Amino acid sequence: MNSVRRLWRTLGQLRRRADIRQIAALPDPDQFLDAAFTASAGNLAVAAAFLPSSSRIEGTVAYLCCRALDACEDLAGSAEEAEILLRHCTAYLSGACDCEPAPKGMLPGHYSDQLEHLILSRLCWVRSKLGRLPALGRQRVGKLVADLGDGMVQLAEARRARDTKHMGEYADRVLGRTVKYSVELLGIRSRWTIDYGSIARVAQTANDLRDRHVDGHAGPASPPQIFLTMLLGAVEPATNVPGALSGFQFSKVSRVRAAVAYVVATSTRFYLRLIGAPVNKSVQSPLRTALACMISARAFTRLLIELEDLIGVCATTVGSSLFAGKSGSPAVEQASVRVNRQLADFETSLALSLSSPSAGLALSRAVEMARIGTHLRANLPVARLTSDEMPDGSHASVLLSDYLFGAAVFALEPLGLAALAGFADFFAAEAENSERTGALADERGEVAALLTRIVMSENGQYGQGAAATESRNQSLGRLYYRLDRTKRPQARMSSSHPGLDHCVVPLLQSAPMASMPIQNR
Amino acid sequence: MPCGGQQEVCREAIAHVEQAISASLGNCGALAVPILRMRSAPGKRLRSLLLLEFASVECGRAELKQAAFRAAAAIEMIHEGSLVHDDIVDRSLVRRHQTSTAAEFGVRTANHVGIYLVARGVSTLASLARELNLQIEFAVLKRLAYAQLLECLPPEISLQAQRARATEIMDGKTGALFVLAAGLGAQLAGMQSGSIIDPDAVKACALNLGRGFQIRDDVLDLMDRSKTERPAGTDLRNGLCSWPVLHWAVLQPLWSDTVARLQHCRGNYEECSRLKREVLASCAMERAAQEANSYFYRAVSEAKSIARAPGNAVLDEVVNGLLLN
Repeated sequence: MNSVRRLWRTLGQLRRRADIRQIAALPDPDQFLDAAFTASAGNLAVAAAFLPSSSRIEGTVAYLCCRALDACEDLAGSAEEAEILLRHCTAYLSGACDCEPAPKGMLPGHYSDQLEHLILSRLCWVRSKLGRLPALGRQRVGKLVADLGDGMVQLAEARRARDTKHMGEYADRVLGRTVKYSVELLGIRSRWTIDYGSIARVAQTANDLRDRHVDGHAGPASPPQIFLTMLLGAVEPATNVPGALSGFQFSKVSRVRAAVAYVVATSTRFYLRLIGAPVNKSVQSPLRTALACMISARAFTRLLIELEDLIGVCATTVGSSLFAGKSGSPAVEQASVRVNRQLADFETSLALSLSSPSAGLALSRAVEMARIGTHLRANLPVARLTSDEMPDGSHASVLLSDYLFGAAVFALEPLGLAALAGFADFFAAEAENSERTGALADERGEVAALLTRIVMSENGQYGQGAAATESRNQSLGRLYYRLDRTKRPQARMSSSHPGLDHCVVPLLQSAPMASMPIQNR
Repeated sequence: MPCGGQQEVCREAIAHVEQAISASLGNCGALAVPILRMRSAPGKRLRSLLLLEFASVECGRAELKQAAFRAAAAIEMIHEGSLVHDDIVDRSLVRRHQTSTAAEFGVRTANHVGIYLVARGVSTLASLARELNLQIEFAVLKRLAYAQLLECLPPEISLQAQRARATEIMDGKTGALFVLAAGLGAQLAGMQSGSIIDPDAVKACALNLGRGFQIRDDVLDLMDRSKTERPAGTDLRNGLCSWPVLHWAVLQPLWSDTVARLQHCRGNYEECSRLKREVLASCAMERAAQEANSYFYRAVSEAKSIARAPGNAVLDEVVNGLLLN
């Protein structure tokens, strides 16, 4: 079947729920696995239809293995039972044992659970397909299954209790590992260290919210506190997702980019609908967006810029709904967060040039969170507070920007106290400067200067050239900002300055950081 | 540094903290006027006192004494910054006998003031921790902001759940800074005496103190303080279920009715006054005050247990003094 027909067929199946009995009755293993994948993966199956067949086949097997493990976790009666079943399933898929795991007494009532149950009951077909993959693919999926099995076993209890404190760890170890696998499978190279954890946490929250609020099979509607915790849990890592995706490098025409864009657009649409925020054009029709991204890198950049805006809208809408006492407050006009993607990328690449990748990620996360927080604050009214009602969005902006600032400070802990003090001093100066001039630090390229200072100090590159490097990066930051401001909105969103990409990144990668001695300021 | 009945000693200590705040704030530039105005009406500086009491600084080495004042100043700056933002969120026009920063200088300026103060506080703490190798949990800011967000949620589905949430809010909004203050004080005291004070006991003591103070603050919010501080019933006007209201709700047949009434209170002065009268007429205020006291007593008993450790004999005296203060 060619790719277009597959895409068309998968889209058709997305609109109607497949009959589980019909899938179960399929006698051919390949047909069964294909049908089970399409029925259970939903939008992910559409995204997979964009991929070349070798990646798609391996991805399908990996996905079905994950669903089987998920079934062991979800359908078992207790944490102990889940652990035994998970170990058995992992051993069976790796070929360490030939006895197929048999789920006992499980008769799930929910559609997606029934599908998982069906996949688990035909695990021999999944294993046989896994065995027929090329050696590299077999090895890759085998490693994925082993890692996921371990993670799920260790966090089985927390997962069953839906313990919010451990959900982050679960997301990192389980979904984060899956994201890492996907990146390896698709052969995506990145300009900087990929923040798998943030992508995974956003995806995990979407899963959990779907379970709790859409499918409703996790019990009655969740108390608002859990809902808020989950949404806040998503807002924080979501601020880092555009930066993480922005580092991906694709070929000029790329089916992989289309698949990634499709997943981004559908996930964003899910969140917007859940929160009650308006859904914009590119997210409303993910297929069109994906097709545009297939042939145009600019379309992908545009999508990421819109994504950044939408995160601000989501954050403020969540906050506003708290004040309104109901979801879907209309106070979204407060939340216009326009971030210059190219400037943000420049700053991300600076942060990630720290010699320790984990510290680089922490710094990049902190900067992204602080950036969204600063933009939320910039929309606050100048007027004095009176006894009249203030728009709900203003309260939300204050609360959420405070939360993001707190989260940024917390994120910086791995960098050490000197970096933390420098960051805090910068924000004090930024507040004073904004009060005096009304301009954001982005405008003055000061974030780039701060990052240069932190990176050079942390990397131990002291010497005379520090001030020059800092000043040059500050000028570049200012230049990016101005280029963005002088363009039309459409052009602003696109990578319309390819020359800068070529001039800035090598500039960072080569001479200045490695060789320039600086003074520790 | 015992200050039970020793008002003069406390005043002197607070004067040192004010000096340290001035030094940490530096030149506030465009924010100097609102910050100066804010500082002209300082609060009780409870967190500072708590830190200084735990640190037992009066007999200590000069550099540790200075460090304690700097740490206290940092915590006060974070606290003051959070109060400025609180006033925006609560729409409070009055704070400590004068118009709030947001009402006087505008919402955006107030926000800048809050960020400036908190950021300077964090910077001071980070520098201090670096110099003296102190352990500081910087998650405190996130916890504080999260508690503020929690407070704005619609009420829970049951009274029990609401009570659990109220406790979490208390521990985040008030307790977090109390714990930070006490923990820093204990670390400084440990550096002085060479002994380690049990951090869990210090945390429990500070958390109980924080709960006691927050409940007392909720009680005071319902009492008429219009001539002295901010107008009574601010919590009710924002539809918040404060601690006395929780006690009143226990006496009501249905939690859902209480929830409906609280939501009706948002911005509705008449309904607020009516509900306030009912809460005052019930025994809810007394019960809330008793609960606050029970937290205070628990804090005292924790302090006594800390005090039994060598070198800390002064601590129970300290907490008693703080409470009397």
